[in-house]
Amino acid sequence: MKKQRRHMGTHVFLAILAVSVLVPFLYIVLMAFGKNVSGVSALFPEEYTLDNFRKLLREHQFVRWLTNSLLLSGFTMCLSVILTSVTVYIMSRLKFAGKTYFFNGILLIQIFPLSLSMVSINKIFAEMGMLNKLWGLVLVDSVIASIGLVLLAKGFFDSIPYELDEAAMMDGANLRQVLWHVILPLVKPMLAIVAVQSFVLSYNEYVIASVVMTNGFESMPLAVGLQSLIAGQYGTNWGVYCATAVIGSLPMVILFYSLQKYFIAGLTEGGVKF
Amino acid sequence: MGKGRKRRSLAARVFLALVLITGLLTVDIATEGHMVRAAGSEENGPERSKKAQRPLRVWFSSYEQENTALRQIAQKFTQETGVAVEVVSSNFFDVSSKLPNIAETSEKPDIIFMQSTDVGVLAEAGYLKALDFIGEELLTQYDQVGKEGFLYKGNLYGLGYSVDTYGLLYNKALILKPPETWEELFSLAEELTVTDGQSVEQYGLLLNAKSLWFTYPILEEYGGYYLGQNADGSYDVENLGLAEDGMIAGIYKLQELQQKHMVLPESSQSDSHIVSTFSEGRVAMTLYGLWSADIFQGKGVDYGISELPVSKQTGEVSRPLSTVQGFVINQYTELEKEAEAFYTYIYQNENQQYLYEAANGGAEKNGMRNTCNIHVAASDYVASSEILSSLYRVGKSSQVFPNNPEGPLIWNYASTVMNQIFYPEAGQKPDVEGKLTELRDKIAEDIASMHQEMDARNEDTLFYYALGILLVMVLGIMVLISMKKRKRYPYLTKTKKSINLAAWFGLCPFIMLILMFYVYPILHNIYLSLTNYSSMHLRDYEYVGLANYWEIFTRNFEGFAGMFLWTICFAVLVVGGSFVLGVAIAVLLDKIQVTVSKGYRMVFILPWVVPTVITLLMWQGLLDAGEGMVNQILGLFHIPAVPWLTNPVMAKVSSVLVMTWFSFPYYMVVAQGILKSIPRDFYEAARIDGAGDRVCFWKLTLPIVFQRILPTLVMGFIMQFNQFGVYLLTQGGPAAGKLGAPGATDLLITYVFNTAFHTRRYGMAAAYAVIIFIFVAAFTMVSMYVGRRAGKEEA
Repeated sequence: MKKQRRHMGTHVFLAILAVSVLVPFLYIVLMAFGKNVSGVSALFPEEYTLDNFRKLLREHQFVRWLTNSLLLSGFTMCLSVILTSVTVYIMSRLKFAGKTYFFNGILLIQIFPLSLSMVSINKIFAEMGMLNKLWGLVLVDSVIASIGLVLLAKGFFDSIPYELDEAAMMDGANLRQVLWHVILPLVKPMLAIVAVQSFVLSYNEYVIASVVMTNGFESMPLAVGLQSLIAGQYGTNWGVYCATAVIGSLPMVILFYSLQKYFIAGLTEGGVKF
Repeated sequence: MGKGRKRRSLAARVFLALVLITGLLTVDIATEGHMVRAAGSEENGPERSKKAQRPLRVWFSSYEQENTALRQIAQKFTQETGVAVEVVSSNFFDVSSKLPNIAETSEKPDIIFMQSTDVGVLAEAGYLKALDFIGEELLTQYDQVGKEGFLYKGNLYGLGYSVDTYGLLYNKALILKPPETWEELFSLAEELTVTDGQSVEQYGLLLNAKSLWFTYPILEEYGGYYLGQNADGSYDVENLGLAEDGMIAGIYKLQELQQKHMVLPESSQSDSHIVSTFSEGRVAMTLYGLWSADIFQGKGVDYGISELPVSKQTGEVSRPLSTVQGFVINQYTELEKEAEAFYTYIYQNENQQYLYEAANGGAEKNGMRNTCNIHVAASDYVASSEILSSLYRVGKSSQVFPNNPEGPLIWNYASTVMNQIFYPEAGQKPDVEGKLTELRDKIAEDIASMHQEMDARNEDTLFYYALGILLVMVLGIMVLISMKKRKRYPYLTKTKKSINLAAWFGLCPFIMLILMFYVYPILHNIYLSLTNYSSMHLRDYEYVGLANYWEIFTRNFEGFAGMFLWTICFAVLVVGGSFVLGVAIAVLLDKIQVTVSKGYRMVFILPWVVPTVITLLMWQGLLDAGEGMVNQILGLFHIPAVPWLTNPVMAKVSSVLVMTWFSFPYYMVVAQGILKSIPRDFYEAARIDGAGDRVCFWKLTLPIVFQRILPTLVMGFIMQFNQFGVYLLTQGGPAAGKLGAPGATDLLITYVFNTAFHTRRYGMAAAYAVIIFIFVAAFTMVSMYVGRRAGKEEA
């Protein structure tokens, strides 16, 4: 009896929290179906309609944005997984001169507030001929993602016993083969985290993309396009904004929930270690 | 085991599917032409393949119908002249920040659509080409207002295509004929105001007193002004009229109107509130434009717009503020002749007519654009529409907001000051004169700061020493750390040299990318911090030594220490709060049924999944003091409205709560895993000793999880120093009592960002970035050092 009451308390607490998490999202969805929504602060729309979604598909470059974002995030995800796994494998398994400096260096360098030096970012993009190029964004997003994830992944790689490598080496495997056949299958949960996090990062990245993609709205990724709906010339069409937000969130939701099992395992066993 | 395998393969399949989708999309895009190729280039395909010159690039509008119209005009132009034109959609608000970065690259635009407000900055830096090729005949086709906006220091840089302004917007059901004079307007408004003691049912006139943009004509009527003008029409930045008697009299008049319920009742309300009240038919008159006309139409309000009442001062209609939008030519275009030809072509009467009609939605005539071409204005299209013709008259009567670089400075502070004047804290009487004087002095100070010429200073040597010592310290700590860390690596079957080579070879791609996107920007940023790079020196910036740093350290920072402390408190509270909440939820989820807890976890993970830009904006709406959902829900329980984002203390609380809300899912997930790995006997032993649930949580669970999670927490803490999320939520506000001082929720980085970018001193911003970097890096190294030592002692 007592135990059940205690569980009641747990459920009430969790339910309240769940509501506080759900309400803002519910709110976006309601607004997306609202008619004549003039601001974000009204409680409920008076009428419901699909107009916002129709308008979105008709008037805005939404499909383009989504395609751009999916391409960008997809490529960034692949590149980050490769970059991170190779880098972390080397850092975790090999003893080489300057290793500590390298580790400390990337730890420190990622602290730099890049958002304050967009002029410099723009300059390197211009010099490398990467302005308005998708692959330029892919490169910059993957390096930003990887530099943070390397720290997280190293802990996970370190937790895999060296004996496995040694055994493989004894059998005549080279470094590449050890990585491919021994380590990578064991660090799948970590790779899932790297994949999800780098996808999330490039999907959300707004500041750099908005500076280096100047070739019209159709070249923007979703996050920038979304922002252009708010910072538009004549007021904000909140209904369309919310409709974009709802559809735009779907890829992330799908990715997250399908890889959930995997990356939770990765987060558990990995973790940043200095 | 089998179950686990199955799940894994599912996830793998999803992954594969994603890769496939990406591949398919690539093919799709590849066949359709590369994604970043602008639309319009398809039409120019043939020209391009002839290996002729590159097409002329035009940055135009965010309205697709307008872009399409210009593309059609361009096509005609191409047929006539053989010059290919590419029309790129763009947002003219971004031009002043984007053009300086792009103007000289291969991606440069040749013709740019921009607003008059930015003309000064870009012309001063030499990005705009003067229109010396335009004939008198063409110029006479345009109203004075269309030229005024692009006239800077005696040169004409562009011509108006549209005048963006506001007039007297009125509800035709309530107002038969718009009033002639201001006195008439005010008395009519008083008659039409209907109150029932507490709330106002119908507003005769509704003004947003915080927005100087809209109230300016009223203030001017009483003799107020912002920038004085020289005889030749240029602006005199020494002559700020903000604290003169006329301005004060104007403010008193607005306060009188406020007493009569003609001003928005709550400080948190803004233009969108005027729009929604007007669309409900509860407002007779307001000063506004047609930007939300579709909402008025949607709600079925019969609205009209007219010129402002006649001014007593001049005997003519009062002049609303306006910005003019038009095309300019990039100074650095190599297609000069072609650009000039197309420029003239755009401004031909028939092409203006075509563009204008397309922009106004054809038969819709919604007033999205407002021409200043005399020929277009006289056309049937305009004459047959009451809205369009009165909008044209309003635009023609307007005064263009100063286009000099100093002009926009006022918008950094105006709404803060007006808010303090019109919505003082309960029981206080606002000091109008004092506030206006403060506003004037702050703007004068900013103008001086913008114009300040910096020289390399002699005192610098001291700073070089300080910098040197700091660098040595950093290096020393690094060496120390690396000496302390010696770890054996089991397999070293190969020779050391070849391992070294292999390692660095493998790291090569990553290092190259880091060099490109981190090291180079950092070095370039450090270089910029040693120059006077600013809106006044966008191209001709030069080395000024440590002048920027000197100014930062010698400047009198009002409230800087407080903000600095708050930044640290904020980081601790957010990281600590989300850690405790995350662990608590993980513990509770551990206790209940597995299926239920999975469902809960799917919910709790949401804040992490959905893009933060979206959810932050939603929180802003939810926490709105007047109509936000949170307060409405509290209202159901008869709890009075809480000023979540407008009260300094509450804003701090809200910003911590919202940011905690964002980051707890991550810690929850990590903690869930760690909890599984804690042996059950720990708890059993504790229970035998008589510990209850609460004791177990605080004394056992939390410390164990804390220890495992500590490095992640430290990284999370450090990353809070680069946190821009709060800025999206509160814009750093509510503002401090003193102008320019950090707002209640300003963090180090947002404050720095603001101070440097308000006056557009980018060199200064770069110096701030370096200082923040050094500070956070020092902190990181200390915590790393401590963390490693703790780790070693444990081992």
